[in-house]
Amino acid sequence: MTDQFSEAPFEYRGEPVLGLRQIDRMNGAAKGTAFRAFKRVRHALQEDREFFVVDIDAPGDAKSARLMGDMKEAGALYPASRVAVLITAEAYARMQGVARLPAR
Amino acid sequence: MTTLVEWLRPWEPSAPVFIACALAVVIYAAGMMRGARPGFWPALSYFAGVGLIYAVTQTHYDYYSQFLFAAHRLQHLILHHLGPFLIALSMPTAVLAAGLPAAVRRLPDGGLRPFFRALRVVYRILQQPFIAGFLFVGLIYFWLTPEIHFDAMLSIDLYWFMNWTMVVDGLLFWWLIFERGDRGITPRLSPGRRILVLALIMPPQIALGAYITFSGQNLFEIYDVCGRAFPIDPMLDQQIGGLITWIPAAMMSVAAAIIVLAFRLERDDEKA
Repeated sequence: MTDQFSEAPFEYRGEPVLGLRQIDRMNGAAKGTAFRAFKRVRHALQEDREFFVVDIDAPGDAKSARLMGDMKEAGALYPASRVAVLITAEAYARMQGVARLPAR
Repeated sequence: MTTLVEWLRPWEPSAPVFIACALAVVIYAAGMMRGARPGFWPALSYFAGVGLIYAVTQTHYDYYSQFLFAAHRLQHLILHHLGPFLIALSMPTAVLAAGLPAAVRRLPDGGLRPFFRALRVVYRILQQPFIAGFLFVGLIYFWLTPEIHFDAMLSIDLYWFMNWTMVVDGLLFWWLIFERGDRGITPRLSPGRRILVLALIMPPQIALGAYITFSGQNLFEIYDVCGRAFPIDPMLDQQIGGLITWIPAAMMSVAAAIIVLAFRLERDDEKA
């Protein structure tokens, strides 16, 4: 995560995670590119292990609320998103397999 | 120029859609080159129908369909209503038959006869007016059930399955409505029955469109996951989508009824 294309990951439940906007930005890709890659591999991913879904306006706990606040402040979420999809390294690796996304 | 290329590049390339559209154009063109004379307006209607289906699935428009509910509804209006409507209106059977290689035309009478016989039975069942109308409206309701819509928009395979079902069902329905010329295997309904079917499919579409338009609740949350294609209030997006489901879709029934009546009058004139 140190090269010029990398984005600083956030931490969620002890895992380093990236938001979809960060992945798009990291790749200089159009909005939706990371989501498209995510949709292609979602069937092979395990929720709450390889990716997490957090309601931005109603996060389940204080930690998640703080994370959503930090991500908003860092511009890591698309303004129109109401749900944050948090991608772990494992999920990102799978997404790379179906889209031309650089290694993290 | 770059913008045009970007617009023409599919957001989610689909080989089956590309091949189906290419074959539809090539076989029809081959039929014309082999002497079939569909006439200017039928040919235009056919190519416009195929072109519209291609445009909303294999260009950058598809991006907006996946990130904006209103664009999605317009996409389905074309896949289920306008595109198949134009194709069926052109009654392309004779031209397509002329364009097919002779070996393919002989298939139903060859070793695959039992398969084609079974296919014909299924086709005749699906083309019973009540079943055809029920399927036409039922599919719209089915794919707009919020939970099902969420899953369909979140899975690439289900997304394409949804789009294919809309096109195939649209073709079946409008084929039944506009069927004319030499008798084939499609049941031939009287103009009155065709108009009755068209009238019966209108109220459920109007009700669904009105429900979506006036719902105070954000029904389709999938568009909130990555955010919409551009900043637009989710409720406004939903209202526009509801209006597209409501008004143009219902108007297609009116337009079809007028066309059915025009065909009837034309036939009466020919007899007189």
